[in-house]
Amino acid sequence: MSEATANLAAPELNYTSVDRDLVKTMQPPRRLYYGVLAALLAVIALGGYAWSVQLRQGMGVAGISSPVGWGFYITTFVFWVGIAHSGTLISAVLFLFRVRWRSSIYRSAEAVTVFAVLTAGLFPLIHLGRPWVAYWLMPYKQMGGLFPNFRSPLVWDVFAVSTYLTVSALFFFTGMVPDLAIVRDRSQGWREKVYAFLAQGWQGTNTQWKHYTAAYVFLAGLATPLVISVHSIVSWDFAMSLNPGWHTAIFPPYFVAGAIHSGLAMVATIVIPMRRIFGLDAFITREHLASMAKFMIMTGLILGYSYAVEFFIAWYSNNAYERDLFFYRAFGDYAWALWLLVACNVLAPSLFFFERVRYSVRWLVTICLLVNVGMFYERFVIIVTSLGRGFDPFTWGLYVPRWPEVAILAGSLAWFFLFFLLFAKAFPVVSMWEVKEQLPMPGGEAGRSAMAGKEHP
Amino acid sequence: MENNRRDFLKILGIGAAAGMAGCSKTAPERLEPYVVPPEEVVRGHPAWFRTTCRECPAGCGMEARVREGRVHKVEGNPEHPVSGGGLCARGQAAVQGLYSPDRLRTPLIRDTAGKLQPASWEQALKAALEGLAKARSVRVVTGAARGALEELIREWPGAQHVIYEPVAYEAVREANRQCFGVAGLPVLRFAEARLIVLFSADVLETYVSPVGYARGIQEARRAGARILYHGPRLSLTGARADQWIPGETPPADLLQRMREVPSLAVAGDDLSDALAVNRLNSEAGALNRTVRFDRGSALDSAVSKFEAAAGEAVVVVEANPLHALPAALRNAAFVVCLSSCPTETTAAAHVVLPVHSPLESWGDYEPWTGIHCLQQPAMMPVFDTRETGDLLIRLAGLKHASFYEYLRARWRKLNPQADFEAFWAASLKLGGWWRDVPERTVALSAQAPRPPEPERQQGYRLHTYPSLTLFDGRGANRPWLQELPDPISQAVWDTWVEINPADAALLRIRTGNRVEVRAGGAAIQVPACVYPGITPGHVAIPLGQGHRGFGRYADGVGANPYLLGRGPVEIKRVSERRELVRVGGSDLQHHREIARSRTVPGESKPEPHSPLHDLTLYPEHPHEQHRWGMVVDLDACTGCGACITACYAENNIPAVGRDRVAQGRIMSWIRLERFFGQGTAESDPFQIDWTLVMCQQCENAPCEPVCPVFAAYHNQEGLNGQVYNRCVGTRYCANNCPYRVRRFNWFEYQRPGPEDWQLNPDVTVRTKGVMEKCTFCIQRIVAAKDRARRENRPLSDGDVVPACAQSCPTQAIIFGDLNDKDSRVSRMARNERRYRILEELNTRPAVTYLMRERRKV
Repeated sequence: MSEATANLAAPELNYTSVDRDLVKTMQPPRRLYYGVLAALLAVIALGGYAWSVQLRQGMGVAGISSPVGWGFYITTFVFWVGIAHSGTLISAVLFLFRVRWRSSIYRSAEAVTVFAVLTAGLFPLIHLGRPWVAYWLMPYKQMGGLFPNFRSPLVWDVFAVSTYLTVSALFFFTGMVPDLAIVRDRSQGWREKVYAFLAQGWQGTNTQWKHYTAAYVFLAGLATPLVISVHSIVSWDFAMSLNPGWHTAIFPPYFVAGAIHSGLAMVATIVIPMRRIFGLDAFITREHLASMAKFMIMTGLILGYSYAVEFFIAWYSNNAYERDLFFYRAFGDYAWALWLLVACNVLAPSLFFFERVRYSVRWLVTICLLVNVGMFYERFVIIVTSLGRGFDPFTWGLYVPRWPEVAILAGSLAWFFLFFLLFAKAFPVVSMWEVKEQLPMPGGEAGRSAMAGKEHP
Repeated sequence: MENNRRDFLKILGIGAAAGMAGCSKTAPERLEPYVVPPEEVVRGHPAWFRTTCRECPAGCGMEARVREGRVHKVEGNPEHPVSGGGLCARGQAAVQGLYSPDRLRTPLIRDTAGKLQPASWEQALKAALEGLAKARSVRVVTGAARGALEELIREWPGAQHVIYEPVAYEAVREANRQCFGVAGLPVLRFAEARLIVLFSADVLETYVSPVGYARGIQEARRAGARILYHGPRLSLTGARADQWIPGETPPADLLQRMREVPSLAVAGDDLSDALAVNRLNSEAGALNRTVRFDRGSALDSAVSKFEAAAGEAVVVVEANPLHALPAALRNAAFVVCLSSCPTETTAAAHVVLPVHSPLESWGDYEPWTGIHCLQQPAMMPVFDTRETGDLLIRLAGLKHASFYEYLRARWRKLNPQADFEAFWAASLKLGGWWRDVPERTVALSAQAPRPPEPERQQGYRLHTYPSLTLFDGRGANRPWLQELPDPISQAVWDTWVEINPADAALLRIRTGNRVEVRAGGAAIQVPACVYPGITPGHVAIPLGQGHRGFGRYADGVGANPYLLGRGPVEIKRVSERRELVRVGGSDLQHHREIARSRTVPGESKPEPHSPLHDLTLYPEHPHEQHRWGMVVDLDACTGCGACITACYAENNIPAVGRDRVAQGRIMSWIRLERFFGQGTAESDPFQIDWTLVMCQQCENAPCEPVCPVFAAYHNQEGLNGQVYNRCVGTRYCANNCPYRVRRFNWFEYQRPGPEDWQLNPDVTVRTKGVMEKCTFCIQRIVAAKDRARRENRPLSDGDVVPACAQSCPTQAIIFGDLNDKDSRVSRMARNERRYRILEELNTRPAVTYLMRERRKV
């Protein structure tokens, strides 16, 4: 037993202590909480103001222009859709594979998913020239029988993202039902009524558990293909076009790997401070964090391979447009962004090969933040360089974001964290029933060993 | 104009109405919509009035399209002997002079405090007459005005008439006087020449009569002519030539080569060049054949410099001497300005009388002897302005009833044999009346001086040249012209100094750096434009900018190189910031062969960039009736940009201003892509190719499948439709367009009144957040179909002429139905010079380009 076991904070874990410790996170918040809440609201208000200026005056207040018609907004959209991937991966895919380290972080990961999709969903609206007619993208008969254009990847996006939001929200909620019943049992007054409604009459009977686990497996099965499909479809926004640097078959797997990479980084970025604040060291151990780090080694390597293949194919295909574009990416106006993203996404996570780095919370936080930044710039480089450096050299141009785009990006981060903040006080952030599933039945041997990471794959 | 009787009545009706309008005070209220429309006005149908363009001294024929009593667009008059149907960008922008929001709306009088104050017409005329009466003598300053106006001024007792043109070709006229004894400009018959030699003469841009010359040169080109350009700066005209000879002295065998074929040499406004050219023309046999002095020019009596004498009263009529000559009126005791818009000169006047713009007034103009061009009002005056001629009659104290009557009386004398009313009506319909003139031969005088040796001097040599877009500065308050990129520098809304890369490296100057240009004790600050097409030791600055008090679009833009003195020029960098706003992304083609050219004889026809697979998942588009297509002949295109401005006028395209252009938000549907290239031969060190890019109306359009709401769709006639009302503004179509021709409405673009009156009622004004692009002038296609249906005939080739094609002086743009194998566009599209831009992408564009040819000289 190494460091990980030694760092387990709780002396004993049993059914009672799990319930007690995890419901404790929902105690009335302290001052700091309200301070953070106010700060987030202020940043959201700033983003909202920026959007209102853009609505009033036109898209021109942003830095996007011709030829770079998509900039920070679509970058941010793809970024958040990517973040949303970790949740389903951890909760559904790892559930199906019976990877046990997921149990204490999957609730947070699912919350990240739902909130990230809610954030991402704003950006197609924000980037529209006429958002007041955005509903024309919905599949219904409009203007005398006209449907949206099903050949357009943007319409596929509408389906992909809305499906993903629906399924991940359902999964998120379903996973919480037994825990909500515990919360219901421990609250009074109007809260009890609310939680009673949310718990949907959960009694924990055998039949309920039987149906529940079946439904959970079913939902996990439903959600698993979405992990692949959503970001594949988002990548088609680019791959289906004919711009150099976009029109490539590697995009779907490459985007999915990138999405998981960024999603894991975001989950770690959120879980580590949460674990500290709520004192959840016993539930979310360093072993859990190290397992995520290991996963990120893999996704980081996939990304590194993808980057290399892109450059290789650009050279190998002998396509002048591709070759010029990738040369430009590496040495042109935005070369700094390319090298930054390679450093952040591939080189930094490679440090997780070292056990010391993997188990150090400080390193983990640093590297995960770097990956978040790197993944943002990955999408930035893909979008901006390909658009700015198209087929006709006369039309080449640069993109520099302007204040509304930066304000809206900041607002979106605040929007996301606001949801998380509210979630942390309204719902149990760690799944009580799944943690308990791994403990011995009451009265049995000490539960600690079950939580010890070394026994898990 | 198929129906003669109706047209005749139309012209008569407007003629009578406007003639009477000239006598009386007219108020803008008279432009209210008709309650009971006059019989000849059919709502929704345009009426056409032929008139004469007065945007420069060339005197091109113009047709004004009028809908519901308002001029929306002007086009070239195809029957005009000067221009032959084309109209340049400046002519297209004449409507922006008419509807300028800065137009003078009331007379102004300088008060005791020295400020101009609005006044009534009675007060202003009284003040003007008093001032003139007190003065010792009267001098009337006009631009080139040969015709009734000049004759009227001649009747002014004791007045001296100065014809002031900032670009007056005095050196050319002086050389002609010394060599041939004729102090005038020659008629240049380019069409008959097979070798054209230009000594810094920018005949395709601003030189004397560029639209007509462009047409003549194109005619010569089709017959195999070659063009040589000799001069220190590679201008657009030089770039159009087959070869540029940059050195100080022309090649030694030039005369020999000119003797071999019918030839023609032209000099720019430089005495030494002009003397050399006169000798060449004379010795090569071009004199009296392609260079003729049969017809005098309206510029023959023009001056580019004058100064008012002490105690003199000066009446400035639609001229702006104070922009180029800030001290010209220093000594004048009293200045009356007749002007439609504010200028530097109106700001210095004692009395300012607002006059009709040329599109609202009667007049005539004789650019060349015997070419009498008529000018008629195409609409009621926009503001409370008066006819220039009427005011002059009043100020001179003449007894004529009105200028209109005076004009008619003059025309009665022009052709005394004819039945006058019929002659008048026919002349109005034609746009003027042209007569033959007796032949006149001249010979090189024995005393003709030889051109002096070029003097060696310290420092840089400065060349100022009239801007292609703003000419001598009079176009500076037209946003369309400010926003038309200069074809060479690709700059908009600015003045710049062109400097050779070697010199720039010495001075540590990069394109866009602010530099100070100092000459003869004066200095201006302008951004630099590093340009390999100017020889080391020379710098060039376009004229036209640096206005003060000229209007909202002109003021504070660029600098005024007229202010620089003569002599050697010093240049120094004052700022490292990049200021020049240019539209092009890259000066080089990066082997993508967007603008293609070949050297003949030698190089073969273009290699097609065929796509690897001509496959599509979707069924072919059926085009049962028409499939519209376009051919752009790059060997005919002169790069003048007339098509771009015509498109602005026709399609309600907003000008967005300097800062927004800098952000890549120019809205033009057509753009001129200019690329630098390296010549192969040593004598051909640097060359420029260009092409016009508008929506290619692809058969496999990448914009169409990506639109989520079918705002971009393919119509039955092969057009890539764009439904503005349906567009949600994802901009995906623009991202996926390899030609990047789609334009997004980043803002709601406002037009200050009365600029909005120019808007074409046939074309939607787009709101913010929607995408737009070239439509092949779909409104004209619809109108032509309607006309054919009314006339119960099938649509025939040439019925649809988009605005760009109409305006082109050299007919470089051909439009028509590709389904009709005999149509002109189909025949042209089979030319062996054909290629398509980015054909390898399998977009199957409907626009075919004919590559440019450089003929070995």
